[in-house]
Amino acid sequence: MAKTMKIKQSLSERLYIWFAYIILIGLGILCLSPFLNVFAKSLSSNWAIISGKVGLLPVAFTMENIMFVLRDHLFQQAFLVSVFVTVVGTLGSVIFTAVTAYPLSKKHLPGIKFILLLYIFTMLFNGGLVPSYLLIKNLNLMDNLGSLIFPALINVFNLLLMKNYYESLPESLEESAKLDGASNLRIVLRIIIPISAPVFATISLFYAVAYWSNWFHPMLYLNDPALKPLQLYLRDIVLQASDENLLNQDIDSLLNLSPEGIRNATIIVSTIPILCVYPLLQKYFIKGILIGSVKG
Amino acid sequence: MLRRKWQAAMITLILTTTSVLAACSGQNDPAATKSVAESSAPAGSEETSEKKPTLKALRNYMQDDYNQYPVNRYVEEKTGYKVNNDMLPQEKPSDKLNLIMASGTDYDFIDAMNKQDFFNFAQNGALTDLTPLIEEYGLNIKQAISEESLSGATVDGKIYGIPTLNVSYVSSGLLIRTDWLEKVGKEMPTTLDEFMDVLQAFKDQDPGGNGKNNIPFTMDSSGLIDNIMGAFGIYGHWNVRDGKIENVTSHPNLKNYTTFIRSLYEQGLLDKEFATNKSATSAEKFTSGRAGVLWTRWSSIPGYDEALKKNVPDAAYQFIPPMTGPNGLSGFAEVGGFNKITFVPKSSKHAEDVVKMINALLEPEVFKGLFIGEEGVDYQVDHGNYIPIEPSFTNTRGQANNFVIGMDEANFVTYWQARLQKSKPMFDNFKIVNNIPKEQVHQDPLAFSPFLPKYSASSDKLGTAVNDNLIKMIVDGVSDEGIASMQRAWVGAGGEEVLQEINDWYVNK
Repeated sequence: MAKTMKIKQSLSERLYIWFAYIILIGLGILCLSPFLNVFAKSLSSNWAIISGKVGLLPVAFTMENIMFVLRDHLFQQAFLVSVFVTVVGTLGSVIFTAVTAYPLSKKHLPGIKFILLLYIFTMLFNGGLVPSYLLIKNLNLMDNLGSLIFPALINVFNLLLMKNYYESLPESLEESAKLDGASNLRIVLRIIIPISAPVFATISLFYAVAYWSNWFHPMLYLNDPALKPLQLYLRDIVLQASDENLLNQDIDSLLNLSPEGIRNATIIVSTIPILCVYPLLQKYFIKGILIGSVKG
Repeated sequence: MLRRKWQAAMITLILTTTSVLAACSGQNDPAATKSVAESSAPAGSEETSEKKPTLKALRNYMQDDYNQYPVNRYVEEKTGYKVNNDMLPQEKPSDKLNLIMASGTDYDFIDAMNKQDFFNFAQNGALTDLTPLIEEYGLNIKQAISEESLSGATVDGKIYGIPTLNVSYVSSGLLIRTDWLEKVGKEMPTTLDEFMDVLQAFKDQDPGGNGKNNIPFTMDSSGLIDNIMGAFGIYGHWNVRDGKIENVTSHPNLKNYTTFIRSLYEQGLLDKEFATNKSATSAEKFTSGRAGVLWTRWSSIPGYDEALKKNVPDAAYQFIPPMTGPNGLSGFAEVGGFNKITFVPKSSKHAEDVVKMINALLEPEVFKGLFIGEEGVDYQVDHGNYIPIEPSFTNTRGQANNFVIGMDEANFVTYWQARLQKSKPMFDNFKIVNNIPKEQVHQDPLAFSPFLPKYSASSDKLGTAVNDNLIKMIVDGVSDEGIASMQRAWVGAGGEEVLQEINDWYVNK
């Protein structure tokens, strides 16, 4: 592909491409700079941050902030909670979404349309904040990590994505297996699951990111400080220093404010894990979204 | 073949219904609530009567885990009650608290940071009347907490909560670089004229050698500046005049005050960018050595001190003591009031135990130990001053204020100052603006007000209306029309009704 393009490129085309690259790289740097700034602050001494000396590179380099965060008992706890919720939640979600999406892709089954409609209904309408709070409370899921997983177990958008993928599989695939005498279960285990890898990867990533960055549900359903996931911990710490908060805080909380360097270090340390997952799954990411978008 | 199809259909149906249920539970199906029985057993119901129950508490946000914090063990040791603490989030704790109260709760006591919430719950009959319990078990409570404070947590003659006082203090002032003063050969300003003179010298002589970046005076985007407004007899948004409370918008000196700040701005003495400064931006300018005066809170001084000394090793600074204005007025606004009110929801089975526990905590020696720890380990006493012993003090009592329920009102201010001693520059500057003659301290007249629903609902809006218009006048010029337009904005935000409500209370007090 690249080879053929090289031959055919005219001067104006080349200029255009270079121009596009420069703009895109510029935009990329623009997007990256706030992140680099936070990164630099997390590695800088507090005095340098307060006096506004830190730009894209650390000033008065120190590992103290990062070490402080890593050693912090509450941070470790929050980190483990987040990892647990993300891993268990993602696994559960992928399994449940798959076992729902596969049968829904079989149009000949009776009542399928109606059941699908039930799902889509929940996409458009829901009871609102207070009913869902009451539901979780009466299910005895308050202060229970289950409250973060069960309500988010099936995301209808992901479900439809998966359903479309299964619909796009050639029917002859299953027919041939049937001719060979395979049972329905065998078809699923031996044929459907192995060829579902790309859609599993995409959906896992969707779910993992959603579980990892969820702060609203924990904010609502968890009161026990030991169960706080990372995002809630982070939000509490970062919001501490906002100007309006400073106005309303009582004096003792002001005296206990954590230094800016530590706040930035917390942001960095909690972003890195999900940042590491992205590049690994990115190739599936694009492929996965396109899955099922064109029906044969 | 038909049988096969049926089988497939059945399996599909089972699988899908289970997952529909799963999805439903996420998507807030109210029908599902009915099928689940209420089964939240009251905490400690199975325990024997002589054993003290574990109390379940809902606290406000703090950065450490309440249950792991040493003070929680101290509470159990001294009172015999184990307390299991949950915590509200930092962001919008009121919303969450209302959700919890509305849906029924098994907490035994709750700290309300917001008076409005407390009064709402009390008026709606959601709280336990503590009056008879305090009468019976609350000897220490009655001794420690003044009648006046308790009346702040009283609705219709019944005490529904234990109020925890805040320290009353002057919170902010103008930090000035005293080394710059020396360099330009000026004394510490004592009047506004001298202040202007000093700023002019800062501008002309550039004692910091900053060239173009030299800023005589920086601050963030606020209209009312401590110390300067005091010189005009203005002490915050609400002031007492002729036995009534009035808003700053109708203060006779407001125009003179605004004109003064405007003249600072016009002459390039006040930071040109002040209107867009965040507090962090103005602090940057000061701590990097570019600004001569900074309006700030003393609680920020520890961080600023380190930063300034690193950037400009021979820098020295302090708060400017109260300056006198054209009419001989001066002074600071003092904040204070209730920190929180602790209440017992009606659904709690342990109201009696809660009162007993609070009573035990307010025994004077127990309170002291809770608040500042153990003498010789966490603090030492030097000439009547409580000096913290680090790191033990910060590690074991740094967050003790969050565990306090009701203050030993006669003593807590003295104990509390141990907290300020952890940074000498902070403590010294705290004293400059706080140890001033009584007539120069003007307490916020609303600090101890009862619940004022209109005020609670609109005070933020009113403050913004005033602040925005003040800043506009400082930048664009002061005129009678400008003042009038500020008053209109204030009235538009509901100012008149709020003022009426406040004075209905204040005049009849």
